[in-house]
Amino acid sequence: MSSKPLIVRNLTKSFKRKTIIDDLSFELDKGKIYGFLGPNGAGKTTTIRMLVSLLHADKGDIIVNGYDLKKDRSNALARIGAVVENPEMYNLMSGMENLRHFARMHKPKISQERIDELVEFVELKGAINDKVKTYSLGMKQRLGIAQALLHKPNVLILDEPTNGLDPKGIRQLRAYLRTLAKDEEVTVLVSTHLLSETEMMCDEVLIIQDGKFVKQFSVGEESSDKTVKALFRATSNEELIPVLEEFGTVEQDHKYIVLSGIQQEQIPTIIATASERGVLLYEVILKDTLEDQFLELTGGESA
Amino acid sequence: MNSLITNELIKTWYRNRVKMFLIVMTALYLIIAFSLRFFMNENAIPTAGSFLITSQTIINGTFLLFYGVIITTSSITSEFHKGTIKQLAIRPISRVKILASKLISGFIALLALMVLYNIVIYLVSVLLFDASNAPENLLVTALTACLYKIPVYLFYLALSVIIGTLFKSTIIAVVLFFVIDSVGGMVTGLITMLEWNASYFIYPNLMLESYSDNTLINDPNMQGLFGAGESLTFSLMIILVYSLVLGAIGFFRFQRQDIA
Ligand SMILES: Nc1ncnc2c1ncn2[C@@H]1O[C@H](COP(=O)(O)OP(=O)(O)O)[C@@H](O)[C@H]1O
Ligand SMILES: [Mg+2]
Repeated sequence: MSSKPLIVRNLTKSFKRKTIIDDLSFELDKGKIYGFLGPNGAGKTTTIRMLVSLLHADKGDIIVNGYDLKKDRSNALARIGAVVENPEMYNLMSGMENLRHFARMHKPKISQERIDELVEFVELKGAINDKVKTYSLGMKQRLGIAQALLHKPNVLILDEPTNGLDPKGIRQLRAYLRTLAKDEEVTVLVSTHLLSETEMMCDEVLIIQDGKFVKQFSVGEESSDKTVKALFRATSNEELIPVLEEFGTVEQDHKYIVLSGIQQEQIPTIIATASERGVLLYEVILKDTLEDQFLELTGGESA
Repeated sequence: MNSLITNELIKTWYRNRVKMFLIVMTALYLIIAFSLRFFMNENAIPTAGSFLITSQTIINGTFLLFYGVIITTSSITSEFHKGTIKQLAIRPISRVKILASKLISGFIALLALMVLYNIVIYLVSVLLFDASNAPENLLVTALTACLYKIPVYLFYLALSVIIGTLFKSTIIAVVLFFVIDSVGGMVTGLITMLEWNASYFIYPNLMLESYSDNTLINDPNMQGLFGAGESLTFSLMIILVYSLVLGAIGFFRFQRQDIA
């Protein structure tokens, strides 16, 4: 089927008359990693719960590889693998017993080779026969990814998978997701409230806030032709202003002159022009507008 | 479905510490049996028949039933408490099948325990105690007493399903079990005293032994006084209707609920 791996249309959900997800629509392409970005309480987990049929949507459609989740639940779910919030496992059983347990829930039968292959992939070979209660959070997270991939899903959904992971764990996760997207053409949707993570991990970013779609863009694209903002401090700020006005919009705060609407590549020219006019610069600070936008959207909450 | 039941039985083995239950129950039973046989006053030692039926009443009617309620309820509630229910509910398997696999595996576990313990009970009774002038064939008695308990198990497991899905609490199931078990007789008595018809109330209908013409099984001293007394078919129908209604509510709730 040539349909997109995941299409979400007009998804709406209320709890006690409060609309939590509000007419949310988006589409995902094959083999890409999507950052599902929004501040805490934006509705990421609620959306994901609906994608995997834990919650029933009030309105809207979820279509997985052409299968409508409402009408064709098992065909749709057979193409999704997910870890929703924490990777909860059966603590009294070993990692291998957990994987076999979840493998038994799929048809056609999942082979022991497939299980072993995934254990290898998430680097749990040494601990796979230990009880899960002895696992660190990172190991549980990796076991969670392995169980989500047992049935070779087309779409992998991870809900804030980096919560509680150390930098090494995050790097590892990033590497797994890259491999999956590249080699197996799995579409990955990773939710997070940290912009920096999506920039590190993802091909595309999908921002939601208050349950509403805000923006979707590709990470590379955004950085090549996006406009940036720069802060300047010079020997004489008053003399610098007319120079900067030739390049973009100027605002002044207590210490810096803020120039916006410029391309990153223009900055050397701006510095050269200023010194030609006899204005020397102490400081130039480049501001990422993506970060700014996100901070604005999210009311300043970031890490 | 088979693989789902396999999963549930494996989880039950770990979760409900079945190994521990087997060891403790068997050891206790053997200790009590041997003490009765060897440390009691010679003419107070029970006959094989009365030891058999007392053992069955206590073990089948209380311990196994109680453990079966815990197994079935906790197979539902513990998934919710630990959050693993999410991992089950996102599989391409209907929720009805998931819940059915829990109910069926609870029933299988309970029946397996019943078979195991009743073999032990029968052997201990005939080997340790005097079976020479038993009023009934003891093997037939043992088997019949088991059969009378199976519909009762069905009812209590249906009750476990509804408690597990509605209240998500094993404690409530345990409490309800004791309430039905102890207050049931009183309520039946009260209803009868008020000259209402108690025969549609579930409790007297659970006393299926009162329909037996086996003198060991149908012993008023053992079974209490409150058999429904209508007929075996009537009581079985009542049990079936109660079980179906309770089960249906549980399944409906599980099917519709949002999993947080
Ligand atoms: N079961 C529920 N009942 C009522 N409100 C809920 C429920 N689940 C989530 N919410 C609310 O929905 C909003 C979105 O929550 P969530 O999807 O968990 O956000 P995120 O994962 O983006 O942090 C929050 O305001 C939360 O309080
Ligand atoms: Mg969340």
